[in-house]
Amino acid sequence: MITGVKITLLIAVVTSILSLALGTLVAVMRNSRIRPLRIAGRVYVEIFRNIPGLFWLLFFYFVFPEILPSGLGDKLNAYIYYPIVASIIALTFDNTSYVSDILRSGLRGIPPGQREAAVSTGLSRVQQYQYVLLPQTFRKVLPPLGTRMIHNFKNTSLCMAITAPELMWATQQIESLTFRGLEATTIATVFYVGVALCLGAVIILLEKHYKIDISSITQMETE
Amino acid sequence: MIKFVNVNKWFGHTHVLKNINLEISKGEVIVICGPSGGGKSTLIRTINKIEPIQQGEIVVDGISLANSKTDVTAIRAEIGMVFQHFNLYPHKTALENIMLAPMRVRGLNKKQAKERALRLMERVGLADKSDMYPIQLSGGEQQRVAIARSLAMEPKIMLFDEPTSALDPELISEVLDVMTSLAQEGITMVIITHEMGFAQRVADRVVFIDKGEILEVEKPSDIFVNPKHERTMEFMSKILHIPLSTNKK
Repeated sequence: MITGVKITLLIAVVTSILSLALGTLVAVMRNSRIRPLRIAGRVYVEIFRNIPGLFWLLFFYFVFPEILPSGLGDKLNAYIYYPIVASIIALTFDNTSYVSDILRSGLRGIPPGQREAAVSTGLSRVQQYQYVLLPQTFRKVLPPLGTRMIHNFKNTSLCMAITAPELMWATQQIESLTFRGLEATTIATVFYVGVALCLGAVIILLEKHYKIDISSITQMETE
Repeated sequence: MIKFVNVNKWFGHTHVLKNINLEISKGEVIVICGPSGGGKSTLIRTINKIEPIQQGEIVVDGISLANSKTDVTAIRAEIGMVFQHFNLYPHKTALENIMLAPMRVRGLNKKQAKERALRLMERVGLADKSDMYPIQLSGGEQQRVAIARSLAMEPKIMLFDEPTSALDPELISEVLDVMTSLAQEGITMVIITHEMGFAQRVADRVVFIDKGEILEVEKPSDIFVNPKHERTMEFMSKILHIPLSTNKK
């Protein structure tokens, strides 16, 4: 069960970080001047957001190794940690589609004057995003982004479907081996709620930390 | 310093700049005025190519903006711009607002950038407000920080797009004072403003624009007292709240 907790946390942390990075990339693509990039970003989001996460787990676990060249696919199937790797890939892609949409809406809400000011001082496109647009976007979308991350954390329980030995899977194992399902499930539930509450608290702390920034960003919008 | 040659621009079907020809020499202070929607803002924004043009040529400091090989980003670094709504970065303190571009574009280190920013904050009379966020500053203070932010790049040209229009009346003079001192230093300035007293004091020439056309370019003493064009006269008499008459009639 302790191992289950560790694996759950591992999957949650890695997918959150990866989807934040990828989500930023997709959001910027969708905001691009270059049409093919915008279309690629849109297609990505529509595909991954509209198909259930469970499907992607099954896809990356069962189907993905089959469509690879056979040698590579066999190696993956034999790899004992592959369920965990497949879980991370599937949940990252799934979560990225939501994260990118949250960031995109935040990005669109930043007044055009911000970019103009950055442009007029000679900042390059990358620098405009890096120092002016994205820092404001992240502060602005902190609440929905936090909710999404809690959601992603809970989604790790789906990984039991592909035998990734995370907490939910461990709970089921205990149930079938010792019939002490009630105790195991209770502990698991307490853990999920506890971690989710902690995440929520961290988000509130972050919001407080950036309070001045956030209120000024929203105020400038209404001007 | 800045040269417009037969510049034309359209927004969709609307012809917003019509055959603009204008030459601004180094150190000159130009005030642009005219009714809203007449193309003033668009004109000033073509100088640093925030607004692209469809026809004609704009040459800044000997470099044509139309040439596809021109590094527009590098030219923009030489042109400061001050906006009606200040556009300070709300997530950065006043000092950080000023330090950003010198560090990232000019490659100054943090210490040099900070020294420069502090010097500029002092110059715009806000030395004690360095660590404040934009939301903690009044409109006039924000605009002075915005001017300092532009000056930190040591630009050759400064563009002002209605810098005092969004300010409470009692805050206007503190911004105009900073601009007046800049004008005396010999930096090339292009200013859109309706502050005619200010224009009279600092402008070398006043450009009157209406419906996308330059109708008059005159010394301030001439254009205020003795406008040639009927539209200019109408506009001036409304804005100065005094009846003016042209020679004809």
